[in-house]
Amino acid sequence: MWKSCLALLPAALLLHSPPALACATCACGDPTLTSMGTEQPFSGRTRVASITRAWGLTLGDDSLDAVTLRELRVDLSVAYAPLPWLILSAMVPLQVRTVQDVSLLREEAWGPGDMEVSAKVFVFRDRDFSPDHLLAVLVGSELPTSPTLSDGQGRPLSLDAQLGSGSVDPFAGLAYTGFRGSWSFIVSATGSLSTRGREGFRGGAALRTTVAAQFQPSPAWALRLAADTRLEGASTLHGVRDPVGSGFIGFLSPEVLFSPASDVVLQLGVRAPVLNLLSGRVRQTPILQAAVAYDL
Amino acid sequence: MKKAPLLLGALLPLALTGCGSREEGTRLHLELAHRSVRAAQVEGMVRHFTNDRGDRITLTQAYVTLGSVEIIPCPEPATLRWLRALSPVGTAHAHTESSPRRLGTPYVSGLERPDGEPLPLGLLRPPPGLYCHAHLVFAPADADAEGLPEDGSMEGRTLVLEGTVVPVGEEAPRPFRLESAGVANAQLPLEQLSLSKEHLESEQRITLHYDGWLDGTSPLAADAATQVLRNVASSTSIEPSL
Repeated sequence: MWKSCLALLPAALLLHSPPALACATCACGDPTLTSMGTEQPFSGRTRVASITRAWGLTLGDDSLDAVTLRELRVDLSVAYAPLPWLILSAMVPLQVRTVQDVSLLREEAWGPGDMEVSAKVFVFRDRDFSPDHLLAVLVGSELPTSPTLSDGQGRPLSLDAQLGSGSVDPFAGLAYTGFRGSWSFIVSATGSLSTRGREGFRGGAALRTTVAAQFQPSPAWALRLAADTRLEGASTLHGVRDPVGSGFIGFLSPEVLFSPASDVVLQLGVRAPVLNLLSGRVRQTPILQAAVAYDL
Repeated sequence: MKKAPLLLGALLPLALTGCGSREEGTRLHLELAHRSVRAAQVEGMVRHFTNDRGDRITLTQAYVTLGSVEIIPCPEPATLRWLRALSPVGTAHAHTESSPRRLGTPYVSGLERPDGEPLPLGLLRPPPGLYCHAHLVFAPADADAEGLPEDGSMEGRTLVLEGTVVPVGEEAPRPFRLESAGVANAQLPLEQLSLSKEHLESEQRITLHYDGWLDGTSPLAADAATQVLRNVASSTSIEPSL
C-alpha cells in the first residue's frame, strides 16, 4: 500500500504544479537539455524535479558476515534563481530501504531521508545571454531531517537501516559547464564534511567529482556519458575508526535525456561501478536512475 | 485536477512520518554454568570435592575467564568444495574480534552462583547452516571483560583458584593459590546444531566441571597452574539447553 503511495507522490506534485508561463530554453538562450542541478541560470527560473534511483550494496563475506542493503529513493527537489547568478535549491529524499544480514535478520524502513539545501553562485560567465562557459561555486548542507525509525516493538532499527545519518553535513564545490554547438561538458568537484549524527556515527570526509560530456543531435534528445568518482575517508562510531566502505569508487554513467514537451526533461541512465577500491569487502550494484525535471 | 491538492494533502503526512519493521533471523543464545560430575559439597561459594588422585580439595575462590566462543560449520561435502574451488569469486574467511559466529567478549565466571544456574553469555546471529563444533578459548581477562570481580584480581588472568588441599594419606589441610595468564583451547562437539529459515533459534549451554580441574595434579606442584588450565579446557562440555 505504502509503496504505491510513495510512487504517486511525485506524480501528485507535478499534477499540482501551475501551468508553465515561459520557455526555459528561450529565456537562457540555449537549447541544451539539462538535468537537475546543471541548468543555466536566469532570474526567476524555477524548476522542480523528481529523481528515482534504485541501488544496492553488499558488505562482508557471504558465508560469514555479509550485510546486503537495497534502496529505492525518490529525490524531490526544487530550484529557484532569484538572481541571474544565484540558484537556491532544496531536496527531500523519500526512501525505501531493506537491510538483510547473513543471519536472515531483515529490516525495512521507509520515509524521508536527510534534506539537502544548497546555493549555487555563478562566479563567471563569458557573456550574459547564452553563455558558452559558466563557472559556479556550490555551498550547502545536508540537514538531519530523517526521523529515527523503530520496529513494531519500538526498538530503533540499525544504523544501516536508518534513512539518513541524522547529522549536519556541510559541503562545498566548484562546477564548470561549457557549451559548444551540439556538445556540452560538465566538470565538478564537491567536498563534504560530516558531523556526529545518530548513535555517535560520523561519516568520513568525502570528495565527489563528475566529468561529463553530452551530445545533443536534436532539440528533443541527447546522450550523455559521465565519469563519477567518490573518495571517502573512514567513518567513526563513538570515536572508533571504521574503515569499511571508505576509499575510492569510480562509476561510468551513460544516460539518455529526452524532452517530450517544452520545459520537460526526462532522463534515464545507469551508473555502473567500474573501479572499486573501497576498503572491506564492498560490492556495489549499478545504480539505475530515472528523472523528470520541469520548468515552471 | 481539483483533487490533486487533496491527494497531496493526504499523501504528504504519510510519506513524511516514516516507518520501520524488523524480522528476526537466526539466534543462538549461549549461556554458561558450572557443576560437578562427581559428588561435591556446596557451601555458598565454597566447594568441597575429591580429585581423581584422592586429594580432598576445598575451593574457597575460583575464577575462570572464557575468552571467546566460536561455532564451526560442519565440513561441506567434497562435491560442494569442488564447485566452490572452481568459482571465480574468491571467498576470504576473516578472523575478527567478534563475528556472527564468534562471541569475542571475555567473560569471567566464578563459583558464587549455585551449581547449574545458567548465566547468559551472549547472542550469536550466525548464517543458517549445520554447525558441528564449538571452539572455546580460555584467555586472560582484559579490563572490559564481563563479570570481573570488583577487587581486580582477575584482570590479566585466565584462572585464579584458592583453597586448601588434604593430600591423600595426610590429615592436615594445606593452603594453595593458583594463578595463570595462559591460553587454553577446547574444541567441543555440538549435537545437531542446525539453524535455518524453519529453525531460527537455538540455545547452547557451556558447562564448567570444576571437580575435574585438579585431576592428575597436586595444587601444590610447581607446574600446577598450567595443568589446571589444561584441565579447565578439557573438562568443559556444551549441550543444547532447550
